[in-house]
Amino acid sequence: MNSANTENKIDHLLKENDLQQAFNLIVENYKERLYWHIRKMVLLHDDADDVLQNTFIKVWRYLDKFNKDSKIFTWLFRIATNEAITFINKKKKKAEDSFTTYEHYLSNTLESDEYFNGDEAQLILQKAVLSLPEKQRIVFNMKYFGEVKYKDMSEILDTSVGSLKASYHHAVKKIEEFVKKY
Amino acid sequence: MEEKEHINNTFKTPENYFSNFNNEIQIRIIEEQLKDKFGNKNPFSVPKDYFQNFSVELTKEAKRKTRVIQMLKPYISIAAGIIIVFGIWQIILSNIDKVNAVAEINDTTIIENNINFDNIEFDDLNENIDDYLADEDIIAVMDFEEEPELEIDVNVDEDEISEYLIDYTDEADFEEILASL
Repeated sequence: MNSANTENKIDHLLKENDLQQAFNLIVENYKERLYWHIRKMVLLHDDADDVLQNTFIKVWRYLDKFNKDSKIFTWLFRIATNEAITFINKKKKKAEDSFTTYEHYLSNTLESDEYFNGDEAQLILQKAVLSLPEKQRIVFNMKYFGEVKYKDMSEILDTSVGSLKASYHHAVKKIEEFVKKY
Repeated sequence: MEEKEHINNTFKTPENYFSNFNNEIQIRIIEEQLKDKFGNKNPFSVPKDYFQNFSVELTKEAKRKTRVIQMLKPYISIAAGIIIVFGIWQIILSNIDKVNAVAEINDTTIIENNINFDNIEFDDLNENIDDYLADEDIIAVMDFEEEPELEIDVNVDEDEISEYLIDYTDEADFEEILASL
């Protein structure tokens, strides 16, 4: 089933108020896309798994309140993005009590992570992305790795296209500076 | 030039298209260089059969959370009530503190400066008040806004409390807490 057909089927099920079937279809069709969106933000598999589960639990909880005129794709990505940001902020807060930053911890953990298959160059790029401020990091990941269009990104992140472009430009320049050191 | 083209042409460009063009192309060049050097392939992987088993794991997690919420339900309403009462109490206390601080200015400053209201004219009184207000100690007492105040959000709802407890309480720990009650 292609993406447009799936969205139509989900819309139909939601209009029929068949929430259980709609939810099953949502999980089946969006789990991978949402997982990779989250994974690029939190980097570690276990963390991505936690955030993905929380995302779908929230989706289930609020599915009856979903505005049927909106796009399900945008709604799901918004929830996933918010859940990932909340998760990162909690981790950052916990890291404040230790002697390292969350970004530093991630950067070190990534090197020994069994689910990171990148070579040295890709590790450097990930470290460069980690050095970016949160908003630029999200925009860079979505555009550079996910090749998400600014228009879709604008709906997901509720930010203007102009502001997203500015964030991406800043991010690219900072990454260029960062990788020059290697 | 842009204007001239625009007049002679039936086609239009988005606003600031040409003025932003150099910057856009410069970013594209850096982006291409990064892709040549580092690629943009996904360097991450997932455990074997992760996506196939995801729905089963999600159902387990949903059941766990539902169970915790059911166990917590009676306590959540009590906790919400306590937070609201505590919040209101803090607001009342901070107002009492402000009233006491004003009272303190009246008592201490008047006594320390030995003011006799019978012997001063109205103009002198104003002048004296200005002097007292210029006194740093008094200003420190009066400057309520600089005093750090306890921030309490009394608008906490039951969902937020459940989420907090679910996130920070392990089920086994919670059962232990319940058993000890």
